[in-house]
Amino acid sequence: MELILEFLSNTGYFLADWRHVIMLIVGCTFCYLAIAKEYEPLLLLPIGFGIIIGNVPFFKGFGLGIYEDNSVLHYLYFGVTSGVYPSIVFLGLGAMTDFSSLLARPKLMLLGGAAQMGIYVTFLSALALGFLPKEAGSIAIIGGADGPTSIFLTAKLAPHLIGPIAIAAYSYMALIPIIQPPIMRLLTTEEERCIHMPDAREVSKKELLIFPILGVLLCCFLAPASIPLLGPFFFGNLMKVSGVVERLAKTARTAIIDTATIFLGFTVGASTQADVFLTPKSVGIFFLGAVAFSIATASGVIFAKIMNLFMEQKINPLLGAAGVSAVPGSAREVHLVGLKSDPTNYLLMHAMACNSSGVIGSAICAGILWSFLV
Amino acid sequence: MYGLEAIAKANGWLIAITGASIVMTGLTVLSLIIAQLPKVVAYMEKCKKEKELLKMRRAMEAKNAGRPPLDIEVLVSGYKPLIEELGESFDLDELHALCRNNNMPHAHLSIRSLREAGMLIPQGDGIFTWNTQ
Repeated sequence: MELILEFLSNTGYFLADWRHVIMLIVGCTFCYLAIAKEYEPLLLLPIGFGIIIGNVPFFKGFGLGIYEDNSVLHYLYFGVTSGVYPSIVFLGLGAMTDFSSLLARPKLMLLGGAAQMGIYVTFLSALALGFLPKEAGSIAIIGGADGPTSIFLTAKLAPHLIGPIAIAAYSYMALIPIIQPPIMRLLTTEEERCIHMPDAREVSKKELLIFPILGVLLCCFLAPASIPLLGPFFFGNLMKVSGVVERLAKTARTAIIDTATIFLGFTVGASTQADVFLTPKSVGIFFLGAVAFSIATASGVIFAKIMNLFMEQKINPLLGAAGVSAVPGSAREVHLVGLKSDPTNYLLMHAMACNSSGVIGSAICAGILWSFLV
Repeated sequence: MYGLEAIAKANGWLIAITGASIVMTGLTVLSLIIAQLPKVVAYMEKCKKEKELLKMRRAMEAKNAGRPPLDIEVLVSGYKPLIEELGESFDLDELHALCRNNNMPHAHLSIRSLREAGMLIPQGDGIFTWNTQ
């Protein structure tokens, strides 16, 4: 009888409290959004299930939890805390990115830079709210709208905030269809939304080959701290465009990135244990994440409007919203908002150019923040 | 500590302004370089073509040494790259101009020989096409 009682006292049913229940509901909600609504399922499903697994109550000391040494989850979590998974994800991203639309319209690269202003405004806001500088830097990178970059920088600067920051970053990325369109419509007129972009010129294979080498030299010389992200990114892209290692490029953009995504999402979700996640700081992070996304979207759109003051051939200012790094979600939203105003206005490929530039811009910002705050 | 005081203590303004400037400058420079890429690639292609033409011309001159300068095979191999530049149909004057620019030897004689050999097919009004058969 005593044995049975002892066993029961070690079960999750006995050890659970209201915080675990809340987190389990959050995890189930993420799974629901991923499966039923198809909101970024590649991210939300692993994260959601990870939250469920991470919040099953257990008796500490048996090497079960993600924060306990020698546990399986702890070993898998190493890829997050060391920044390995984000680098691998960037390798796969590079192997699937087509830079031809960006190379055909280099001016759109500036919109990718402008959208990163959200990061710096959020940095100041986080400092003002009382966060420490390293914490503020980690929160600010949410404005880059890039999950792996957010996790990478947070792992370096404020590892204790990986859970809430990753959840915030990926949640807002999934909510792009809700966050971005109202801001785009507020900051643009109907006439501006109907601006047609000219067809892009054809880009030669030589240009596609030169770009990743130029990009890595320029960006990594400027911000060496971004090497772990931009190095694999441009390497993946070079493998893709060279055409001589198609097998490697295919593996990078399929098996490798999928494996990294599974473990990244799952372990990040599992790291959001109730006692770590349900804190006032997490509320602040979620609030600042929304600020970051909104300002990033707005700054991209406003910068496009400023560019139009000096350009003969106007840019559709909606493209500024695609300067955030959320590929391809924000490009898709820009395209859809453009179509609503003018069903013949196809902005997708131009928006993808801004998106790709945003990936580079957010990685550079992460490198800059890391080198300033380390 | 909160508010502007917290920002000032952490050098927030400096970090934000410097960081924003660095990222904008970096992307601006990258976009300026990318904008010049088509010119660089076109220049590289032009240099490559000029080298090939020079090689062809030297081969023609070497083959023509001690031979009558009207060997049709040699002429065809030498003039084909020029014809490809002009397109499917072209004016004979354009071909002459191109030969002058590329310092082709005995241009008039060579073009006449190509016409007589049926390699340059008249289409009327001074327009010719290359016999691809």
